Amino acid sequence: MTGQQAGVNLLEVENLSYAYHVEGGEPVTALKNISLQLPAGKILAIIGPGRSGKSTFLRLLNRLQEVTLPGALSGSIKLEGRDIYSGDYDPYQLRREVAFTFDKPQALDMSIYDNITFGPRLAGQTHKGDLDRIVEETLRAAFLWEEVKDRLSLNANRLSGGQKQRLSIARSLALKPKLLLLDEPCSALDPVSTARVEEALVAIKAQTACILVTNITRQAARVADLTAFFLMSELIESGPTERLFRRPADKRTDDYISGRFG
Amino acid sequence: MTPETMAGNRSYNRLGIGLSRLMTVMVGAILIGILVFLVIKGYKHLSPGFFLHNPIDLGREGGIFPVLVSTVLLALTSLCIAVPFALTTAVFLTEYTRESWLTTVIRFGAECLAGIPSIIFGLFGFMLFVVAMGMGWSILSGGLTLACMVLPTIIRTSEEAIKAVPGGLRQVGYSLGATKSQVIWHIVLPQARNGILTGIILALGRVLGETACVIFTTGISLEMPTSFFDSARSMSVHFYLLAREGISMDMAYTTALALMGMILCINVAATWLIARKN
Repeated sequence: MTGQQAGVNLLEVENLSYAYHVEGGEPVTALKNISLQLPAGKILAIIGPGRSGKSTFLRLLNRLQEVTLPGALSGSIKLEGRDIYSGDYDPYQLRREVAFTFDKPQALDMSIYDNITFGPRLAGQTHKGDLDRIVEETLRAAFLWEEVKDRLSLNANRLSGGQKQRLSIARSLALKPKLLLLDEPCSALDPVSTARVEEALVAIKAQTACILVTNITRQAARVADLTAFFLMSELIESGPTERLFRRPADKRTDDYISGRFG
Repeated sequence: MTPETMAGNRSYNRLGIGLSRLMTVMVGAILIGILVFLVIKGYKHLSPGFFLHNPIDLGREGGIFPVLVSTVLLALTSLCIAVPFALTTAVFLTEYTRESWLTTVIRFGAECLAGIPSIIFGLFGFMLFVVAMGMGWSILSGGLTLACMVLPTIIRTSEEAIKAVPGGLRQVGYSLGATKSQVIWHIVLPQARNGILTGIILALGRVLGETACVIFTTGISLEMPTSFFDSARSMSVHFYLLAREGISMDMAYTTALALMGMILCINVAATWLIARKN
């Protein structure tokens, strides 16, 4: 195990169940009894077919789910040993510690520079030198610096999809998060852009652990240290990526990763 | 299908296309006709002096300087009052409430407000601001009344603009640690800016051209206003009085031409903004 606090997991999820409310109907179960650990410095990939609860799981980890869709949660999610759903955990602070990158590349309607400094400025950072440094560091980390360093004042919507997605990653990293969540970050990208994003993730993982929800099974195999397989709201199995792909313990995992899934 | 019916269909088709062309040309002709008419009737007195000199002899001679200033002041006053109200209402309706009977009632109310004839607004403004609240005939009374009148326009367009902001951008805001009000202030409103501006500009056009409710609430004083509590005369009211009282048809046409030009410029600006947004 690597990271600052060897021996303690960065993230510990225990018996997590979740159902969201539907107006005038029964609550819909999205997750059943999930338990999962992530040490610092690792990339965890979550694979599984659509509607298996992967995205919901991700959105619970930084309490983004409650912004759009209220629901009922049981079990616990601990970040560095602290329950993120306990009353004294500030959700806004949590979202800086656990950053999020969405599936659709989305730039805020402002310059590249302002996109990246948006989070730090909200958190109260105003020193120009600090902000400049954050912009360069994060753009370098996301492998975007060379492409945009001469036009940081350009409106970010003028970038290509792949560039926007790397900008999103840089924007998330600007928060100096402990954990970065990525919800199918490459689903709208071409193979070249996908490769660049994957490259970036591997490069940053020593500082920032990542959880990557992906529909591309091979992407998990390429970048992830650990992989978890979700199916119909349940965690079927999780473990080191190589082991899970070579010798899956569950037949359903085997069926899914070898493409025999109906 | 027989060749005869096909030929029949074709000629019907031609007829339809021809008719719709004709109608479209007529619509354009109305606008151009009015403009040409005003230019022919009004261009004689049009000069920089017309805008910069005081009227002489009730407006038979001279210019419209105080009238122009009053018009601009009146329009700005009404927008300064209406925009904050309308914008907060639009934000409340779109961001802070779920669709319910309450929002339906508010929206329906705003729509009804848009359908009230302006002279009724004038009467209302006269009773409330001029008489009951003791503001007298003044730019303030007129501005408040006009603000009531254009509220629904601005609310409607702002609401549409705010709704058009992709939900994903709000999520990005939250994911970067922003609170709801920060998301609205820093992400939603800047993104909706063009749509909101368009609504405000359309409202400005209406305010500039309004006559009935201005006579009731701002009065007809030709003096240069020195405060918001002074009575004043807007361009449309000036035009109405010059024509209605038989003071000078020539000057009336020139005033109308100037007003028309102003409103046209504003509409062109609005169209340009919408085009730039898309």
